[in-house]
Amino acid sequence: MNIKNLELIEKLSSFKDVIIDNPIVSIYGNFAPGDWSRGVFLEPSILRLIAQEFRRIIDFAKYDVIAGVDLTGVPLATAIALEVNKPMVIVREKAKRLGRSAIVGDINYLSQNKKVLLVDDAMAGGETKLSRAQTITQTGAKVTGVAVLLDWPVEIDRFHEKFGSMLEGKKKILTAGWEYYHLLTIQELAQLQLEKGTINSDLYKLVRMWEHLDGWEDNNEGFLTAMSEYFAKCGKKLPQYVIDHFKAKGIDL
Amino acid sequence: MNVKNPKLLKRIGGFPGLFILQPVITSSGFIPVDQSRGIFGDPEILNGLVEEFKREIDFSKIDAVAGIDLAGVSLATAISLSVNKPLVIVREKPKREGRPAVIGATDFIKNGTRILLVDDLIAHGKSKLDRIEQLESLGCQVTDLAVWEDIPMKRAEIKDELRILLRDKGINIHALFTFQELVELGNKYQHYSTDLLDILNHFTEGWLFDDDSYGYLTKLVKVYKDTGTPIPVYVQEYLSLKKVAYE
Repeated sequence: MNIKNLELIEKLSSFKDVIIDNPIVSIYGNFAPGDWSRGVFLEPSILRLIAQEFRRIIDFAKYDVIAGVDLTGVPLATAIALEVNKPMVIVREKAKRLGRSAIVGDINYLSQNKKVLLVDDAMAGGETKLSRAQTITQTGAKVTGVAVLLDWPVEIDRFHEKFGSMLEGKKKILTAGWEYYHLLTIQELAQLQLEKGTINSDLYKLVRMWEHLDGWEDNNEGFLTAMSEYFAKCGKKLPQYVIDHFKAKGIDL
Repeated sequence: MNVKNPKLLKRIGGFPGLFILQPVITSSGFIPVDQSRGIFGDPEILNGLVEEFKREIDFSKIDAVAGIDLAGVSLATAISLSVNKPLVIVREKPKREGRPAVIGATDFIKNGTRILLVDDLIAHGKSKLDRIEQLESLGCQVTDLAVWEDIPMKRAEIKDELRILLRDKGINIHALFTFQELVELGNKYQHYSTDLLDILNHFTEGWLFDDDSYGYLTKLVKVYKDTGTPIPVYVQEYLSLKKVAYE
């Protein structure tokens, strides 16, 4: 964990509903039994401490511009830009309308050889970061660092064909010579929350299953059974889109 | 004009790309110029704008700040940090199933939460009303709206109706500038050409750019030529469609 500020650690440990039992199907098409709520860094006292931690671990003399990834990277990028007094742009996936740029503020701050720190809330596969960095490169500026609040390590033992390319983005980022900064991993966050009693051990166990992307493709590792049991124990119903997701794979939950 | 700080006014007036010759084709027609949203990316300007809002708005009566995806988010973040009220982000719809349309709602929104809604500008007011209804459906009460710019579009027939709806809801609208004030401020520091100024002064009357019967598209072509700016392909296509010569 790269956080030293005890107040921030305390706040991250006790913030309710950061780790939530809210299944999602990700942009990569993989399934996760839970999610994390972005509300945690929308709390101003926490956001300010996060920006200060980034200031402590990053040498901002190396960067000219902060680039926030649309959408959830924007509050973090804004807070960092204000903290270190550097200009900020926002990188969208694509322009909203004909005539507009995919980067908000590019004409003001991005030009040849400007060094850019790309900021987002989390990084798992890294594909998004990589494609946004390419958008920035088209202006002549170059991304030389990536900063995220949460690092999200993933593991793949099976279904390499489906998931193998997912790990490529992060690999490319780490081998491209960019600096990579994160404050903590999702596992470290879950551990903090467990120790503080903010989440119970059942949810913690479920969290630790997320990182195995392949485990959710079938029930061979018992993950689907574990999830169903978790929901039954909490007296919660599995959402219909979860049931449909697995039905499409021929699995009846 | 609700901005008093002379240093801030100078900085905004001289901001490169405050208005840019970059037509945008929207669902409601052709917009001849655009504005660089880069203004919120300048930390000193952003801080200055926040201070102006703090003079205008009584934050003791606000529980949370809501930024509209995407243009309102950086301004809303800066306000939230400065007044120490939590932030939520209002999307049009959730990005994927299982995710909320209002990010941070579970943490900061309860029944009766008083909300300051923040966006970059208000034109017709349609998207504001939609977002307000979204927030109200979660039980909160949008009491104030903060935008940096008010663009009273003379084109939209429905515009007055929507503004009256906003007023009837009892929402206080806080705008730091009107479009016209920004044009004057920009012109003071950047000395726009007569043609560009004429286009800017008639910007809100969108119908003038529907065809060339008022000569505004010809004027637009002239501004491109005078500034030595190449006409982008999508603008060329629009001009061809409207039978305006641009070669």
